[in-house]
Amino acid sequence: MPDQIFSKLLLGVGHGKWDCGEADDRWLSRGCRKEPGVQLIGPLFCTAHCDRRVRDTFLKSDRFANHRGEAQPVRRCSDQQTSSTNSLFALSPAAQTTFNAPRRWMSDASAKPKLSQEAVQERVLTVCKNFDKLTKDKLSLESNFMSDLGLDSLDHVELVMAFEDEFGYEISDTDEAVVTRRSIEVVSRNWSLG
Amino acid sequence: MAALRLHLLSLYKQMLRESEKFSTYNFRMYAIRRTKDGFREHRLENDPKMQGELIRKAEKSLEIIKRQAAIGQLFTTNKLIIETLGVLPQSPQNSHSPPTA
Repeated sequence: MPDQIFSKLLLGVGHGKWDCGEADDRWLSRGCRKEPGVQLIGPLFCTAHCDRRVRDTFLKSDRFANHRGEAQPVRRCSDQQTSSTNSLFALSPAAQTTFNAPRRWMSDASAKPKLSQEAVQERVLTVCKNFDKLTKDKLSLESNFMSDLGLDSLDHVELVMAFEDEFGYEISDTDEAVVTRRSIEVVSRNWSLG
Repeated sequence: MAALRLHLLSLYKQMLRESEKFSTYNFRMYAIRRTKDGFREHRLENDPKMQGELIRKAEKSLEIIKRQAAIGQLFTTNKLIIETLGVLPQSPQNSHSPPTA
């Protein structure tokens, strides 16, 4: 990668900077078509030079339907400002989504006090399936996390956190069913009672 | 030994929970990734002196994360574009148009 582009990336054009490995690397490798030295800073484009039709389509899209009046033009990515004014699209604070809300694998559960056993089991299994380190084929109600599915205790903690996020219940570390790492069935039984 | 283990696991969980509270995407992702990697890296450490040092380091890091997350909540900035919901439109007339995220 040419030094010029790399140093621009390092400067991290304000909040357009990408945390490499997390963002989509396709966009990092593409440059502005008309001015090759200018690096794209996201899945959008340098509006100074790039295709206006794409930008305009994007601005007219549903995604910005609610914020049309509020969006400000993208700064050129070659600008060397590093202040917070250099964000990609400056939306008003009201337009921002609450990212800090706990992520749920399924749609947001309105806190129902009692769930049927099957529903609970299904959700437990869905959480397990979405967990990175568990393979789908070995997963069953009777499988033990540590011995059958090959999780170590750190993975187990992460899995329990995923359950907590899904069901909205705080699981204490001394909770017996979880600490002794019995089968998924015990976990699901806990939820239907809890 | 079991008490130490429980202490470690609860420390791990606390660090992950506090890391999730960062409002900046970069800090949040870094903190979560670093705790996971850090704990996993020293998983098989046997020397008690080294263990004690690592635990102290982890507890200090937990304090740092808590403080910085609180400060970050006070001074929030705009969300990154990848954090907002929604999908880019497919514009068929542009062969150069970016694919949807």
